[in-house]
Amino acid sequence: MPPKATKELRVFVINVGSGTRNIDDFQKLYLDKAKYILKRCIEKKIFLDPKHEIGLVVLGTDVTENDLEFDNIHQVTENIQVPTWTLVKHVTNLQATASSSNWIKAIYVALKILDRGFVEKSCVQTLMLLNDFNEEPTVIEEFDVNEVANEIRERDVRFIPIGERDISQNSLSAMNSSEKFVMKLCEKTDNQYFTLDDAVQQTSFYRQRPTKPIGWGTTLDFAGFKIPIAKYLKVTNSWKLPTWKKLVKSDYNKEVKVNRVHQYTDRYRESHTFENIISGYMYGGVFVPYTDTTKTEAEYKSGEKSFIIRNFAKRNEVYLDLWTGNGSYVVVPSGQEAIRPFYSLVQAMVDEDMVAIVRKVHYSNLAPRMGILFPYINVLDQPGCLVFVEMIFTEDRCLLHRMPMNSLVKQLSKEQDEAIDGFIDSMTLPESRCASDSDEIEKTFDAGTVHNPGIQHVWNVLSRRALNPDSEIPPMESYLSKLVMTPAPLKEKSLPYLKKIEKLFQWKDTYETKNKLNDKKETDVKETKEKLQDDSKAGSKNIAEDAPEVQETMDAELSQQFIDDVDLDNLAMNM
Amino acid sequence: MSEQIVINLYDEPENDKKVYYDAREGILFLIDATQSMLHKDPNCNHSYIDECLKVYKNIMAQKMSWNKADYMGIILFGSSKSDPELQQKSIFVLKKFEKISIDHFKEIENCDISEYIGSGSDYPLHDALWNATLMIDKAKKSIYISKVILLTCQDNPLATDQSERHRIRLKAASYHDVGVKLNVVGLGKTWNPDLFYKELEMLAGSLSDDEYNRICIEDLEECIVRPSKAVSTLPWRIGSLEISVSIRSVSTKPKYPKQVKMNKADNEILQSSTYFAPMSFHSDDDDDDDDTIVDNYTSSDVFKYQEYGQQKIVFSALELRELESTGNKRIELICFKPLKIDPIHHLSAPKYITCREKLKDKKLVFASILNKCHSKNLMAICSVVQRQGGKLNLFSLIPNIENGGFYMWQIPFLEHVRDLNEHLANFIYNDPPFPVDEDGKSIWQDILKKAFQNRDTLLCQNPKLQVLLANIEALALDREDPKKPKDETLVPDDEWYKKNVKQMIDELKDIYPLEEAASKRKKKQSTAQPKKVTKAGKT
Repeated sequence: MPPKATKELRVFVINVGSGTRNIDDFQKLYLDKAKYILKRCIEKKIFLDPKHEIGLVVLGTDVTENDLEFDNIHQVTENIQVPTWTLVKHVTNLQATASSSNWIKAIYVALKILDRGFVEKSCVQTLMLLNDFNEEPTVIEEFDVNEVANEIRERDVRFIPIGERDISQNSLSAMNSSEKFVMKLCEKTDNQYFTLDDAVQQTSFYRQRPTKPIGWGTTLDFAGFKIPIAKYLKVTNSWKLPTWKKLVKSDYNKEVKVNRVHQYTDRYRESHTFENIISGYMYGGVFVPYTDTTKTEAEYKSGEKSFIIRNFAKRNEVYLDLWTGNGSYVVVPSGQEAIRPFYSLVQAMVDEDMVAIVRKVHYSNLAPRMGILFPYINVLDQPGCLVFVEMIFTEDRCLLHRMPMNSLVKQLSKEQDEAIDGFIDSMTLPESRCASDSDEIEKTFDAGTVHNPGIQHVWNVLSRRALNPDSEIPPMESYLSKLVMTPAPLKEKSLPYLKKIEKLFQWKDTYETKNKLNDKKETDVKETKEKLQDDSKAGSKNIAEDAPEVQETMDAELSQQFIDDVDLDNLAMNM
Repeated sequence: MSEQIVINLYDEPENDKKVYYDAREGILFLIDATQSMLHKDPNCNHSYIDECLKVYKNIMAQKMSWNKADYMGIILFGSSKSDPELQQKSIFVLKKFEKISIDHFKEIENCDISEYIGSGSDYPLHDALWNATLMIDKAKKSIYISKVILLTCQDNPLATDQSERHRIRLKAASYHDVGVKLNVVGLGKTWNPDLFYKELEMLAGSLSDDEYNRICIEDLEECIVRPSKAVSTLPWRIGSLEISVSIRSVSTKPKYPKQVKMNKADNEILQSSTYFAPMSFHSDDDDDDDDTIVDNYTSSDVFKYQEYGQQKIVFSALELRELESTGNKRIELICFKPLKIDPIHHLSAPKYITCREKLKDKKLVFASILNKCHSKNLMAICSVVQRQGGKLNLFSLIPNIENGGFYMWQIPFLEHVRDLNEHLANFIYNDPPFPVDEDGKSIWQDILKKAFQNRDTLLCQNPKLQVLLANIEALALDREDPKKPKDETLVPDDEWYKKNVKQMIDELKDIYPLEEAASKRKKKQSTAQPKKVTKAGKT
């Protein structure tokens, strides 16, 4: 059995007090981002690590409520607890205050909470501090950094300070006293300081904990020569939410849990039980009974679990059209003595530019599947292995209808040809990227580098629905849809060529366009006539006249909502 | 011809009470029955005419196995007998164009076609083509697609009778108007389509020279039984421009015939359905005598939920669909990249993209992007939503100029790829090279050269499916011994292997005594096991 995932106890400490600072700046430059990070962190715990436990301490509030009775510190959770939506709501409702704050005192409160939590040996303790590090020097000078560091080290707590300014590269003289203190604390406790922007970027995406790889052990068999191997899943489309549970809302608005029930019904919609049913197949419109006895007697038997090389083939003859299955696997030798024969085979395959065709029986008598083994060695920082991809059976191949277009291309004019050529060149990702390239162009669209916007959107919607059960399903946020869009520099570069293409080729059927235009003219005339008639009928002010006002208020509401969304998106994207 | 699927109501209320929604296909074989068809095909040692009948039977058997309600029939032309129901000479309807059935199949199986072979020089192709469309029209069924397959070994018939050839051409051209497809299968290696039949096929389908595609008898079965189907038609957006394209299947997942349930009492085929019932109600001892009335719910009544953070997060069925939807179906071009196909990032079987535009200029843009990608060795990166309201995925479009389209291969997202580097760190050899033995490698190289096969013989039939189909067929046709399909997944020729590879395998075994190591390990395990038991016993 794989080892149990390590449980984390984490206390979040957030500052909401602007102190002497302009409260608007504080809100805009610090608090909005800090709240976003905190909200995301708790949501991630709810969705992905529901068994982890968390605590929350807010400093710089007008409320004083904590075990150590320090001023302006609110210990929101008395003890450490499993993450809940109530805590997320608490975070989203946090408001900036003009109170002064003292993050070092808040650390003591947080450590106290961690102390009280039940600590299993395997637990990891973390303290995450979100602050603008703008305290008055007098507040900081009260404390000795060594003492605070000792308190953290003694408990073996991981300390994650997140601040507004990027000070990691600054010299001590350029820092204020609060920043100096936190940097020294990091140094002494062997931790790292992060900026809000870094943290926003890191928390924008949900990522499930990787599952522990479990190999499928067997032997790679060729004509009786057996090399022990293990096969691991490399690429898979297995992401899904837990099975949806079902309920109906009954007349009394009571929720009743329901289950799907399977039934076989006749023409009168009467259900029949299995004793009255025979199983079989239809053959040319006639029912052929096929009982369990027929099945066991005549069924195909694939034999024991095995992984047998059937033959070898040239690499270029096993083209993409023969690949199937739901992912790829890597095959590595199992045991010290298997390494040399295994890699000798792999090297021979590389030298001869060949692949192996294998027959896989996953476990006894399961339907066999054919597969292709590709040699995969000499790739920097990647395990040397054979890559297994499933291969289709003859019955599964679909015959493509050939529609070559060579003669068509000859009809291109020189200008047209150049426009297309320029467009493709302008839209091609540069192979080597230099430091001056913008972030946007760093996108490579390589396999395994882009977050799945659909999955991320599902998490976002779940969170929104949990916080507002009556809310509608929102459209995908723009920072997610941008993941799969043309990088801005390419878009800009290709635009002139695109315009050229639009001009040089005919994009609309002239006959159709003409007809459509005529149709439109006719309907326009009709509509205007009807409108005139309606208007003359309605003597007083009608609803249509009210509409612009209603529309305006709706637009205002929508745009406000949009602005709210966009702010967060930009926040996530720009960091 | 329009590509929409016509939903057919299965007729014959007596026997088929079930309503089938299926696309019905009509295949009419128009077989040349002149003397030359008795020549033997050097490839298979059968006469051409037998080969035609064999393919007809195979296609029919396949259709029966999948319980298709398709129509099939055979007309012979140039035959010795003339059909009494027809007025034309040397044309014989061997099998009427009708719905396939077990009786139809048995009739064809027991038929001796050689007795119909004509001895004269008649080649009444025009009348045969005329009768073929007439027969399809007479069937008066809504058939989604009708095809006439003309099989002949003469590539230049009626060479001296230009007026008759002209009549045939006109007849063929009318096929396009009545929506019947005409495919010509030339038999024999020397058969030359350019002499006459290519033109005929092009006229019948109003195809351009580029679009013409010759079908061989060997591929005919696959062409009819497993053609690539359009999965979706959608716009390919290139900036603000749009080109209409089709996504076609390249392969399917292994498919098995679907089991049906029949009522023992009156032999009625039962419909399978589901409903929702309260969880407490549906217990194991479900008794029919129990008259308790319980509310059953349909899927629209049911809400679905996830439980996170001690809270139910509830969605209606409609909202759930919206949750996973990423808008209208479309392909959006993101950028181009140097072509790279790495099997380690394979996620799912590829699909194929072809141009669907009627407008010449749009077709031209498609063709020119395809050709440029090919010559520059590039692939197009696109985001694709294949179905309305479906999920959005990234794909690379890999140019394939031979067939005039792009292979569409999925690019896995970050969530799809597992990082195995830590777990398999022992197998990362950056600086010290891979532990390869020169001796071992050269033996393997010899083996590779001996045991290699070319593409034609690479694929094998699905043995589980073939055995099941043979069993069903035997039961349906009352055959005592079902056919025993050969298991092609196993080593092709055991004897050959023993003779050619055995010596090299023995050499490998000498260098790498893996069996000894395995048996040692087994012994260790067997001696270690009792200890474990005693330990467990003690505790």
